[in-house]
Amino acid sequence: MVPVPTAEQSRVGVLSWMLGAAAVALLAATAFLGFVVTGPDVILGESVRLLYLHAPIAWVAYLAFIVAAVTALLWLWPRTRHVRWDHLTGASVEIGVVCTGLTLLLGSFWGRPTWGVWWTWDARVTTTLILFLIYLGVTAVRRLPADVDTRARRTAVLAVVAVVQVPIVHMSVRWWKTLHQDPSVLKPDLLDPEIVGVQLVTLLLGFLAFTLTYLWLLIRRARLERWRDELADGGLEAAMRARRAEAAGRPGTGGRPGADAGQVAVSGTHP
Amino acid sequence: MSYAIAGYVATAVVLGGYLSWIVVRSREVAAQLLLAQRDEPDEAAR
Repeated sequence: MVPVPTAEQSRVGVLSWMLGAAAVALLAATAFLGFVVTGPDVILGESVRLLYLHAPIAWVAYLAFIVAAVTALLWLWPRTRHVRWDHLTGASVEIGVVCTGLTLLLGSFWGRPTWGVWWTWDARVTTTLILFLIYLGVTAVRRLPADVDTRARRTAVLAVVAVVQVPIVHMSVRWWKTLHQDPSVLKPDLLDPEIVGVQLVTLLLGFLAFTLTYLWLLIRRARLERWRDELADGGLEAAMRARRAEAAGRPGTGGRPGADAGQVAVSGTHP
Repeated sequence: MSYAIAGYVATAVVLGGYLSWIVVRSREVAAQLLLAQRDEPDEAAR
């Protein structure tokens, strides 16, 4: 049960469905290659199978925060300001937080057999934790009660400032002494990756699969942001109609969901 | 091998759970929007 879609919304729905189908198929293919086709690594052993998830999910976290910064700039720039950029910023930040948390979790599963510990205050791990906490803070600030413009401004400014942490995380393995290995693919010489053959194919397929998954989640999550705002706007309009009716000496507002004062106070400030 | 399996399961649970939350919340909000749209003609008539 969804609101009657416009032609544009229908196209977005079809795109979302196609992205979802492609993402699920590629994720399944990555898992198949990672577990069945590829074997254990000479150095990393069985834990190399985590590489096919860990690196692509970390990449998606970077991508999500960069996209959030770009859409935040588009909202901040007066000529391009549109609420859709705020919806994309909020959605992308949230997906980035989920992926950063997952990166840390998978890193922990990697660290136990490889380094002998679940957690270590290594430069890469620590900077990634800081990245996670920073963006968790951004999502928390976004949920503070405020009107749409204030919420969008807060999120946009924080998203632009926080993205500075992304290159710090990525370069941490070069700037400081660290247990974490250097980038296998995302390095200055892209044409000379550290892995080859079927391992490289599996890893690249993982990058593609998780990038499509990110786009799929982004479309769905941004749409939810838009619908929440539309619902909040509707609640606010109903409250204003009720006040006008009261002023004119007429009772009632028509029984619309969210039309009573308490619900409007919540929906009108909903993130 | 068990760590790798745990990693794949954790990924499926986290991403699957997040997607499920988005879908469920979208349906809830869409239903509320639909109700609001349905009530609008009544309010306009008043």
